[in-house]
Amino acid sequence: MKKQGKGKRIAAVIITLLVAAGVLFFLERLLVPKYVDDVVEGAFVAEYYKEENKDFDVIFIGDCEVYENFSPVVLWNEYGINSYIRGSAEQYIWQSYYLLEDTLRYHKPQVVVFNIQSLQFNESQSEAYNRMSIEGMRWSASKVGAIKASMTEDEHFIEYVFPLLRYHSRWNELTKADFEYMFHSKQVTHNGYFMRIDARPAEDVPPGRPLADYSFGDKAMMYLDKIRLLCEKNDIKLLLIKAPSLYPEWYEEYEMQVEDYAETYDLPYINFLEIQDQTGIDYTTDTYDGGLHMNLSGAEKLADYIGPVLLDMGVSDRRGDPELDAIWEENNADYEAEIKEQEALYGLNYTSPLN
Amino acid sequence: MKKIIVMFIAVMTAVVLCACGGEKQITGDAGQGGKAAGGYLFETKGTKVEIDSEMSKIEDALGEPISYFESESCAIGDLDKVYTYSGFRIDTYQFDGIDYISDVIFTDDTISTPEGASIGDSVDNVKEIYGEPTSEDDQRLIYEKGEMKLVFLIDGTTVSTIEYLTKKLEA
Repeated sequence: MKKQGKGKRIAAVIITLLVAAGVLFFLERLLVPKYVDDVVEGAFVAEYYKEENKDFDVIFIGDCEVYENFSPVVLWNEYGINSYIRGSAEQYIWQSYYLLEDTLRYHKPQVVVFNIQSLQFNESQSEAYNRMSIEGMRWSASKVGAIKASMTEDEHFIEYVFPLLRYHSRWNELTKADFEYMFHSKQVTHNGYFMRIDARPAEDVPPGRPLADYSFGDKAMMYLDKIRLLCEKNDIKLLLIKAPSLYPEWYEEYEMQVEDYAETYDLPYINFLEIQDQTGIDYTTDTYDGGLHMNLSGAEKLADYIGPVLLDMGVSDRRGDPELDAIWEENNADYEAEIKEQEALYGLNYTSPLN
Repeated sequence: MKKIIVMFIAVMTAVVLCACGGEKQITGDAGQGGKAAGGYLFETKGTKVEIDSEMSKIEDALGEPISYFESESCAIGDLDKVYTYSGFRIDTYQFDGIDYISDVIFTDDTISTPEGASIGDSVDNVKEIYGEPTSEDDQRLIYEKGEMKLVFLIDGTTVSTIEYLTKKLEA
């Protein structure tokens, strides 16, 4: 009899714990931000894992200056380059490093393209941006490294492990989307590319504010070294770029440091701000926010420029691979569908500059 | 069995209580808005410009800027704005839809601080006016007061720029 009673108690404890865990899991899924309506940029990092075939030959890493400025669809259609952008909002360089490390768990690209804008930061500036770059990563040593390298003073590691601890106060901000996307997410990019077809010309862009010290910080440079060495170790070619965003200011002093670094380690470096005549970027038509980010027209022009550069670096033209042809046919259909959606949204007719 | 039920209720109550507490928000400038910084004030044409105060309250008094620029914070969507006037510019950050002054930056030597410092002054002159700085190095003198900083950027031995900066946006 006693044994039976003890067995019942153990069973009751287990059931109670399971129910509690289930409730906590449910609450967590409900309360974490879904990044589907407003701040969709928070969904970018996780989307990569949904790709069934991750055999990408080119991986872009960096902040908004990559995910809004290059069209992977054009890279495929025009050059047969199978690429993916692992970008996120204000992605700090240590996050770029860990996202690259994470990417290498799945496949080894031929070329990594890194946008060097983030060298200006030597510490994470905001928890919001940390969350958008890190939360979507799958758990691995790379994610742990990203969290540890990124946390601001007020952040706690445990809140990344159990997001409910961080988001419990969202209960009064819940929207329909929080319920709708509790257990699945909506696709918001095209191989990491975030599309905007509208245009707002660049006007009255102010000069950069003077800085006391233009030197990149030690931590930022250390992670640039780590990215370079990780690529070397894996026999991956590294291409450094500066996207043609007019603001915030890309100081001449910054440029000199990057040029020196590229020369020292024999790395190719393209500053798109300096080759407007070759890319054909027109700041009256190719940006949707006054010169900070490219719109689709700008992103297609930049992809059309960088495509031959990547082929020259040895990237393969994969057209003719039946599996990839099928994948990109579907990607093209999604891309065209979103163009149509945005044409309706903005009341525009989009014509590709490549036509 | 009763103990188990009590334990279960306690756990769930804790979760609910957690859900009712805390107001941390995921925004770009979380918790930045609200109180003005105090400290040193910039003054132009009889208008006092205080760091972390609302831009809308002085915008009319300052008149039409020479140029105006706004940029959306990446992803978060808050607008950072730059108003350029003769001799200085004002940058703002947004919190809950309200624009707060984050910094005032001198752009030439046609203006001076209310205490009398201008671009082109010597380091000694600045120290004579403001006393010993809170901190200094070869490139700047920093005077901290309230929730703001008055910063003199130094080029050699003279002031190249003067900035009034909020501390609230520091990482």
